[in-house]
Amino acid sequence: MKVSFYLFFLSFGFSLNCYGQLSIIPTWNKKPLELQHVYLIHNKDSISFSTLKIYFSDFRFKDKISGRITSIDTLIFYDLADSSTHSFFNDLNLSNYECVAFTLGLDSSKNVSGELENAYDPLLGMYWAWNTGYINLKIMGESSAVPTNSHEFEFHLGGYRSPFATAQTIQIDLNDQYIYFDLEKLFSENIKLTKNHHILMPCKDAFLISQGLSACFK
Amino acid sequence: MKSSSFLFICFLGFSILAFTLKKAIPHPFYQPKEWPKPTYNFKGNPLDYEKFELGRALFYDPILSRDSSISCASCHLQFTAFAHVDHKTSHGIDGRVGKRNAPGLANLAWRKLFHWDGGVLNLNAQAINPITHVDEMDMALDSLMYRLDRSPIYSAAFKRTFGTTDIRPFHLVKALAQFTLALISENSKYDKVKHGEDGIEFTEQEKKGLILFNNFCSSCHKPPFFASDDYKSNGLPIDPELLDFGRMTITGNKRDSLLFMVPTLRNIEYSFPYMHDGRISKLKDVIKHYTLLDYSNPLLSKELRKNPVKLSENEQKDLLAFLKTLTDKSFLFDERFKYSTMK
Ligand code: HEC
Ligand code: HEC
Repeated sequence: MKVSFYLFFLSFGFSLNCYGQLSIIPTWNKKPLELQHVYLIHNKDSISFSTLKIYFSDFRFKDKISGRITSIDTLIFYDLADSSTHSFFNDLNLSNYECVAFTLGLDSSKNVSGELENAYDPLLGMYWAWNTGYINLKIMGESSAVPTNSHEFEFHLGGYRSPFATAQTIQIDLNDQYIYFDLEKLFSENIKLTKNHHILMPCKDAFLISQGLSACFK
Repeated sequence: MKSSSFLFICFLGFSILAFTLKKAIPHPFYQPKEWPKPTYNFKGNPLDYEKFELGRALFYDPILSRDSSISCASCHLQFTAFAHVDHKTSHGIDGRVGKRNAPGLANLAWRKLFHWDGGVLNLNAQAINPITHVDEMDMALDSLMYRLDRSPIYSAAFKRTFGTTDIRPFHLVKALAQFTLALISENSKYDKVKHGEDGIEFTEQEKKGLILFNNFCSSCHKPPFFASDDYKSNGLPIDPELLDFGRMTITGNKRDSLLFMVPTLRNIEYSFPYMHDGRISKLKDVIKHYTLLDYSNPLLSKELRKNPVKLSENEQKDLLAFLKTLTDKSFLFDERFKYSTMK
C-alpha cells in the first residue's frame, strides 16, 4: 500500500518535472469522454456525443516563484476525434507554473482578423461565413431527453458582439498537465435538453450556456 | 562551339527571357490619385499577376459550385458592373432564389464591411459565403479542395503560384481576391471632369444634377466611392415575404432594424435592378422613391429626415443625367477582367 503510494507520488513528481504538454481531457462521470459511447444522464436518459470541437486562446501562465505571467496568444483548436489536437505547448515546463488562465473561444479581434490559415481554417468546421465569425464550442450528439424524432442535439456556441459575446475566461490551478472539461456537469446543470437542443447562431441562450462553462473546467 | 550546345544556350536564353517577360506583367491593382489608402491587408496577400490570372479563371469557373453549374460570374457579370441583372434577387444552384440582389463589385480594396447587412468583415473571407451558401453554389469546402487537388490544371496552378500541393480554402480565397481587388472603377466622365482630363466638361444638365446630388445624396453616397461603410435606411418598407431586417440580423440590435449597406453608385446606370432585394428596376424610379419618402417613418436615417428630398420633374432628370456620368465604360469592357480559363 505504502509502496504503491510512493510509486504514485514519484511518477507524479516525475511527470511534473519533465517538459509535459498541456492536455485537454473532456470527462463524463470522472472518466475520459469517448465519442459515440452511450452515457446516462439524470439517471434516466441516454446521451452520446458525435462531435466535440473547442477553440482555446490567450493562455497566461503564472510562475510559482516570481509570479511573472507568461502569455501565449495563439489560437488552439481541439477536436476530440483527432488525437493530434489533444495536447499542446510541448516546450513549456509546466511544473514552473502555479496556475493558468485562458479564453475558451476567440475574442472579437481574433474573430474579425480575416485570418483563414492553420487553426483558423474554415475546413475545421468552426467558421460561420455569414457573419465572419467562429464557433467557440461545438457539441453534437443524440439524447433520449431531446423531444424530437431524431433526438439529435447541436450546439454551436459562439458570437463576439455584445450583448451576446460568448468567449469565456477560465482560470485553473496547475496540479498536473491536464485540463479537465466536465461535460456531465455542463449537460446536467447548464443545458436543459428538453428545451434547448439546437443553438446554431449567437443568441441569448448561447450566451447563458457559455457563462456556465467556466465552472465545468478543472 | 557545338551546334547542339549553342541551341541549348539559345533555348535557355529564350526561356529566361520569356520567364522574366511574364513576371514583368504588373498586377492591375493601382492606387488612384487622391483616393485614401486601401483597407485591404496586402501584406497577407501580396499582389502577384499570376495569382490574379488564377483568381480570374476561378471567378469564371463553375467548378466552384456543387453541380458545376454556377460560377461567380453567373451572378456578377462584367458588363453590368459585376452585378446580377434581370432577376430581383440572385439565382443560384438548382434555380434556387436567394434573398438578396447581387451588388456590383468595384473598388473593394477600400471597403471595411461587405454585404447588404455588413456581416462580412473582409474580402478574403467573403468568398466562402457564396461557395458554401445553399442558395448559391452549395459546395462543401472539403469536397471543393479535393476537386481542385484532383484537377491537373488547378493543382499545377496553385503549386506554381502559392507553392502548395495541399490547396486550402485560404489559398482559394486569396486567389479570388487577387482578381476582385483589381476591379477598380475610376475612369468615368465624373472622374475625367474632376481631373480636368482631355478638356472634358459636364453638360449644363449634369452640372445642375451634381448640385442636387451634393444637396440630397452625397451625405450617404460619399465620393469618391459614392458609397459609405455606414448602414442606413433610405425608407424602403420591409418586404413581407422576404422579411429581411438587414443589419439587425448581424448585430441583434433593434436599432439596426432595416438598415442596409449604402451601395456604390458608380456604374449605377448598368447595375439594375436596385436595392438589397432588387425591388426597383429603373433608375428614374429610384430617384422618384427619394421624392416620395414618408418622413414620419422613425426608421428613416437622419440624413434624409433632416433634409427632405424635393425635386421637380426636371430636377429629377438632371440628377439622372449626373448619375450617368458615373458610368465607366473602360471598366465594363476591360479586357483584363473578361472571361478566361486557366491554361
Ligand atoms: C447565386 C448568386 C451569387 C454567386 C454565384 C456569387 N455571388 Fe457574390 N453576391 C451575391 C449576393 C446576393 C451578394 C449580396 C449578399 C448579401 O448582401 O447578403 C453578393 C455579394 C458579393 C460581394 C460583396 C459585395 C458588397 O458590395 O458587399 C463580393 C465581393 C462577392 N459577392 C464576390 C463573389 C465571388 C468571388 C463569388 C464566387 C466565389 C460570388 N460572389 C458568387 C450573389 C452571388
Ligand atoms: C440616408 C442615407 C442615404 C441618402 C441620403 C441617399 N441614399 Fe441612396 N441608398 C441608401 C441606402 C441605405 C441604399 C440601399 C437601400 C436598400 O437596399 O435597402 C441606397 C440605395 C440607392 C440606390 C440603389 C443602388 C443599388 O445598387 O441598388 C440608388 C440608385 C440610390 N440609393 C440613389 C440615391 C440618390 C439619387 C440619392 C439622393 C436623392 C440618395 N440615394 C440618397 C442610403 C441613402
